[in-house]
Amino acid sequence: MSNVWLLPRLSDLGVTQCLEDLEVRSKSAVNLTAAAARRAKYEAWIWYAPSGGSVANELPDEIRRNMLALAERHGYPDRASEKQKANFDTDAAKWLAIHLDASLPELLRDDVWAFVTCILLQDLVIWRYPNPNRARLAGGVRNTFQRLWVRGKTLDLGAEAGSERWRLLQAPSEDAMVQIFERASIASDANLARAIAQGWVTTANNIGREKMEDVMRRATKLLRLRNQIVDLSFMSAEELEAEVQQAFNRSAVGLSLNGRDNGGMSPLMARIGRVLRAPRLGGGAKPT
Amino acid sequence: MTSGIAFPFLTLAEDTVTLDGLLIGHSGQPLFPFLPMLPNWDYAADIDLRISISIDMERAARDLSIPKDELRLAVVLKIGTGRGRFPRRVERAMSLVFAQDTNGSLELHTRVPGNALSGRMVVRAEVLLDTIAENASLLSPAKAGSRLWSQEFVVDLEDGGDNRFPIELVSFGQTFPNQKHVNSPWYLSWRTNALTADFSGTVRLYVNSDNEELADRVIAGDALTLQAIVGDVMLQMVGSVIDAEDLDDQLADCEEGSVGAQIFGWMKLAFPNRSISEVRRIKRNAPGMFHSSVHAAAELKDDE
Repeated sequence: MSNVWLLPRLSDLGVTQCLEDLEVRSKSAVNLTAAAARRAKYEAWIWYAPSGGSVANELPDEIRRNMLALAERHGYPDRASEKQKANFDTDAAKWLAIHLDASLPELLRDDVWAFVTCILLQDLVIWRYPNPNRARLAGGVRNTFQRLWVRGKTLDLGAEAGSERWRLLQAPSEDAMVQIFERASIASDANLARAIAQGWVTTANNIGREKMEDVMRRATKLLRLRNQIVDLSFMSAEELEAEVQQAFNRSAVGLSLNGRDNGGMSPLMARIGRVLRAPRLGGGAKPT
Repeated sequence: MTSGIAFPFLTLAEDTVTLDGLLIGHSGQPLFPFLPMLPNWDYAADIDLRISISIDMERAARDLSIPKDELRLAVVLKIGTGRGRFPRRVERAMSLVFAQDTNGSLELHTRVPGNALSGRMVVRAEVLLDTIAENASLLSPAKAGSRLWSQEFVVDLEDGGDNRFPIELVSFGQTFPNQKHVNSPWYLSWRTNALTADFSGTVRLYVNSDNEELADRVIAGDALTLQAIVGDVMLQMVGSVIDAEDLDDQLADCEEGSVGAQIFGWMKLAFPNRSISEVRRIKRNAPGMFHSSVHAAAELKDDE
């Protein structure tokens, strides 16, 4: 078996200290401490697995160097637009998914990601989320970089997919990603997560991205319930794809397929539509 | 069997399936019966698992109302890993088919690479419908993969104590020098607005090691001391959320292993067969009864 590269871990107390320090700094407008100084300051709360691999002395610096370069490409250190932040997320997810395999079991640990965000890349977290809450810094599904690694790792279709390799990472909206990766019963099964991302893409192509938020929420709820009584991971790829698509289709009932035209319906037309429907629904005839 | 789920089809009775033994050990070494903690493990150590499982096919056919000669069941072994009570990653390790002509028990043997594990290992043995039967009844499972029976085992690895109640013995004088709770015997760190968050990741109980007598009692596992501490934790958490008007909706969105699911579990333990609104009334009208019921539920049983 291959050797595991061990990464630093930051204890829960270290995360709490980091949050308190950030709060004090935000009030006094003092510049952020440099990464090396942060590491020294929080040394008491940083630890490694006692055995089982080799301490990856170079890897944290390599992660920092590359994340910094990607951030600079998307506007860092200047204030970034939402589009720049989204593009950074995608590029960072790709890099993290490809380059950290030797540390795989370490990356399933929340305290490793707490180190990455609180110590190693704290300045990028502040750039990405100017007022980060605990969830963005502590380990967990909302950790600034942990969420990107999980997305990249799960939705990577592999080098053999060529130019299509990252299409499932790039296409779904942020809301769709949250629905997939903040549900442990979905996120823990990579095949199911990929099938749902594909279901989102297919359905969005049919009815338009702007209608997908409610559809996605309904579809993931249906699939989670279905998975409780039928093991979706037991299905072949084709069966799973069909099952997922059926859930999306059921969730999109009432929304026209091939609705790109409808999706572009003018506010006036939509208003007229509401007026026409309202009496049948028992409401008044006046537009709302 | 998976409890708390109303299956829309017939499933297997508990004693139709027998797990004859689950053995675990470091690869290449003798295996021993499954224990909640695997000592001396790190990423360099692969783990061997062996499970013997037998199914009474006569009874299974009756349970599922499927003709015996058409019944084909799949025994699936899944391995999950990662911190939190719900594993971060789950993969199928192997599956075998049980059919009419399967004699005796089947043995599932698998080796789990150490570098694929993190913190703990969840082993889930499951019996699923393998093939759709032509002459089944209307209530029979009718979809391949239908869940019919399952059993789950969890083993903590390395510092996998994360999976027990997250508790830490620290000096409050050093850790919380300027906080008001510096002289408190314990302190529960958690947030009331994170009910869907993972319990192990967001809740942590700090016990003050400056109080040597308390620290000694906790280390020794003194039942009354632990009941007082755990009872206080349960009271804080249940009491803090019970008055929320939309608590039913919030809890409905909480998955297994979340803060909300744990709180709901404690409520059911302390107030069996009572609705949330009834518990809320007890807290409001009979606070003494509310407090002592929760404390009573925190009693550590002999088998724990």
